[in-house]
Amino acid sequence: MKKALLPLMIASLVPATAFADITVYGKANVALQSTDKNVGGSYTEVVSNASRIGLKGSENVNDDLKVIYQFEYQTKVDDGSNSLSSTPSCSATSKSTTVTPAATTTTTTTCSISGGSQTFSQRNIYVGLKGTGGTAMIGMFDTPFKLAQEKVDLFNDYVGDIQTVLQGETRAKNIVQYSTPAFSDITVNVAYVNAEKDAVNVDNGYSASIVYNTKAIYLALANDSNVTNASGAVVHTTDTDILRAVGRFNVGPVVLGAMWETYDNGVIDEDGYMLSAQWNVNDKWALKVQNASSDMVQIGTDQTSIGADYKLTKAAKVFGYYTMVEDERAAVASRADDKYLAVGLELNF
Amino acid sequence: MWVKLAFISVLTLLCSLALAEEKPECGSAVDAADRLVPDSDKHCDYTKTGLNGVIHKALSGKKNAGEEVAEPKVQDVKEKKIEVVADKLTAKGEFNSSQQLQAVKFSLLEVAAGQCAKGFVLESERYLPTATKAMKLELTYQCL
Repeated sequence: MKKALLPLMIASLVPATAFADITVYGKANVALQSTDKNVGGSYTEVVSNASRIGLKGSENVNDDLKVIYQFEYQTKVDDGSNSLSSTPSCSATSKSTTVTPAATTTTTTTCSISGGSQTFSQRNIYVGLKGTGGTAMIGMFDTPFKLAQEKVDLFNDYVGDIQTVLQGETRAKNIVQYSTPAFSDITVNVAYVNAEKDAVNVDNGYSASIVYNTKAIYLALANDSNVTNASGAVVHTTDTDILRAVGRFNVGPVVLGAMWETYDNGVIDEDGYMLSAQWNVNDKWALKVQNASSDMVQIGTDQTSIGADYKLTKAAKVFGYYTMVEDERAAVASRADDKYLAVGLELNF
Repeated sequence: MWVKLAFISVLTLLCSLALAEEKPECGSAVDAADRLVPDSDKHCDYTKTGLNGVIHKALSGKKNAGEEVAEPKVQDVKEKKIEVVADKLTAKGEFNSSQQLQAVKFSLLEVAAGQCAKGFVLESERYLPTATKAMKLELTYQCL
């Protein structure tokens, strides 16, 4: 079955009477971006920033318990291809030899970029149980550590996303999570990431967060232990351990965000931070600025972004951003000194 | 160390500027889905807005049509017969002259009055042909 049809297949299996409890949601975010990279050159591209479509819903078991589920897929609105390989695969496809006027042999080489055939790729997908005692979920989804950022990353899913600078932005596979009910606006989330393999330096991982969330203030403390190893994203020689503290403060029309993180994988032991501010000028306009810096991804990485959003409707906005990324890696010629300027359109539903 | 102290100091200062707690606003359904926490949007109803509203409205219409089809069919009988379909009653009688029509209609109304102590309202009055070349009168009524 073509993976492009997978979400429709899943939706067709749900009886029509069950649609009363289903929410269809999605995001289309596309931008025209001017890219100027120290390694890679300058070019203009159309980018799809984490556009997606999904279903979520629930089925009541009784008054105190219900089954919950979510199926979410990413789609590339710009070129319709996910998982596109950046490394071309080349092979000789023909060879011809002539004898006159001079003996020559010509070899034709054809290069192709593999992958890129999937219209949809998996994002957060889970099934679980929600009751008075809390919520349990199992599947593939963002860890409590990653979600602890809430909305402080004002350029999330754009080129200015903090994942360029800070570690721990993991959508874990084979993850089981329990979340407590909210007590005085405090929620605790604990997750177990199953490595599902017996290999050197690959152990199961754990992710946990404690969150205090109100409209005015958001505070979170989160920890990842060996999650990147367990999920197979990167395998380090020892367990990785990351600690993250996040704060978000609404002061009138201004929203201030802050994040501090410490990362240790047995080789790299570094701290990093991110500061952000958004000014909601009026009901239509919002201005944003953000800076993040750390040595945990690349030595001396510094990322600064400024942006503006104009709300067309409750569901749609026009946005623009300018992002600069630079680092101080040892190979001077390979250092990042990149600039991105973009304008785009986003629709949420 | 100074960076950590400065961070904690700023955190403490900003905590003192807290506003009164309010229920979270309902943003778009995709933002709610990103949070992965079912409780975060339990007070939000997405069945009436945007794409969700269109889908729920379309499927609600199909569900109601399905329920009408699922109702039991009325049996075709020659005698006056009362049948209950949901909360509606139907009385039927045959006639083959204008005088009989008056008598049958009056008797059917008497039947309805006998069924509904507080009165009734006529929903429909149908005249149907029969195999014996007579006509059949069907009165559908609902008790008040």
